[in-house]
Amino acid sequence: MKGQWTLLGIASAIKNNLEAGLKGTANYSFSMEQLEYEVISTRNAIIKQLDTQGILDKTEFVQEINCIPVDCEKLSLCCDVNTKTTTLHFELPIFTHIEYVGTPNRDKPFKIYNNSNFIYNKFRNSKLNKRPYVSMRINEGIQHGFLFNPPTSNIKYVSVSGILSNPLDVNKYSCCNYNPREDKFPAPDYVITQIIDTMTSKWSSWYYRFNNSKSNNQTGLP
Amino acid sequence: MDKEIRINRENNAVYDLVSIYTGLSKINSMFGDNVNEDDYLDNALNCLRLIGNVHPLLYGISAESDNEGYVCLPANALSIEAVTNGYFDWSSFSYMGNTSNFNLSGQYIAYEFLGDRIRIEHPNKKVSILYKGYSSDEEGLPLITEAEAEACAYWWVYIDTRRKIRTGNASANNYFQIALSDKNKAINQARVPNKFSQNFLNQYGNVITSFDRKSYNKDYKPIKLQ
Repeated sequence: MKGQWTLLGIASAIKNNLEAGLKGTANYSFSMEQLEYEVISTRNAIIKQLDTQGILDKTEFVQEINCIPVDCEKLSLCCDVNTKTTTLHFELPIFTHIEYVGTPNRDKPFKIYNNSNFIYNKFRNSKLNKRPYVSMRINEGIQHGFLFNPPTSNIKYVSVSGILSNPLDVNKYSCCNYNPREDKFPAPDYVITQIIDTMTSKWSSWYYRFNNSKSNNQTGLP
Repeated sequence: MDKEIRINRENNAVYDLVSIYTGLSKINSMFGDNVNEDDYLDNALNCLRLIGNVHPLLYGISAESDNEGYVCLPANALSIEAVTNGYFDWSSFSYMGNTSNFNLSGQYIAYEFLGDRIRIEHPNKKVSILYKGYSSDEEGLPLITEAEAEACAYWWVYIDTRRKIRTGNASANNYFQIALSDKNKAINQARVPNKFSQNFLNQYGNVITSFDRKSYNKDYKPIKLQ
């Protein structure tokens, strides 16, 4: 859509800035794919920085996936372990922050436990320990969720919203169609400006230094 | 037994109990935070325990013990008042529960209170149980006053600020003292009823004056409550 920053638009802006500034002094080519990935990692670094400063508004970065299929899987996630007990399970791309995990119609959020802390749920207040909860684990680059006390016995999908480590990961699901050429990059404008400034200054200073180091013959010194 | 119920409920000036989830909407409107429902409930129950208010009612149930003599109690049960082998006298049993005296017929029978159930010696026996329980919603979570809901909201902000300090949030340090004093103020306010009825004051005044009159070398004038 016109008038908004897409991932490709941000990468192109950085490329244009660098090429215009380096015109006549250097002749470098840029990989757009590398620039796009660097835009994403710079965004994550800025999110971390804003969070530490206490001025992060997470809602401006949130993406949601509403069709995550639920299957059954062993808690060990390993075929060698001889156990027949399986648990309701779903796979997610890696989220740096999860805002909601629950039913797709948003009426039942689940409590989130990280790693193996879910085993202490039974010691929770007796009025609350029968409520649904999930255990989140990252294994081989995939975030696994195990669902306990499901709200309905035949639950088929769960919905997740939060800040994705890589915004392009939503395309792994059939209900999501994020197009980096057309859809708005999930960050507010002030962060996008910061991404462009940070990357342009970083790359241009690198090139400036590399360019100078090639001809360091002391002739320019007074 | 009945007197205690009157102190807790019948002499309240206003009926202002709301759902425990009211605190969530207060957090959203006062602080703009999106909070996980379960995290909030964990902390709200802690906060209510700290405030110490209980809004009890007297409930009566008829039930039958199982093969081992166990009888399950409703989730809101706080304490047992009586267990008998008879039935409720429906002539004095109002559907409001708290407006009339319960009249348990039959004989008292021995029981063991196990928290969420009781155990009697007789399997498959019909019993009547009179118990004191807090006012609860359909999930078994307590109903609270508006002031308590506000205290839960401030309590959440205090807990959240403390958590942010631990994770290295720079601005949380500056806000911590405000969050702490707000929390303490809200909790103290939640301990005081919104409005006293004349009945409550009359009862409260009677207690104080009767205590004073029994004291040696004290003024006999009754205390005047403002």
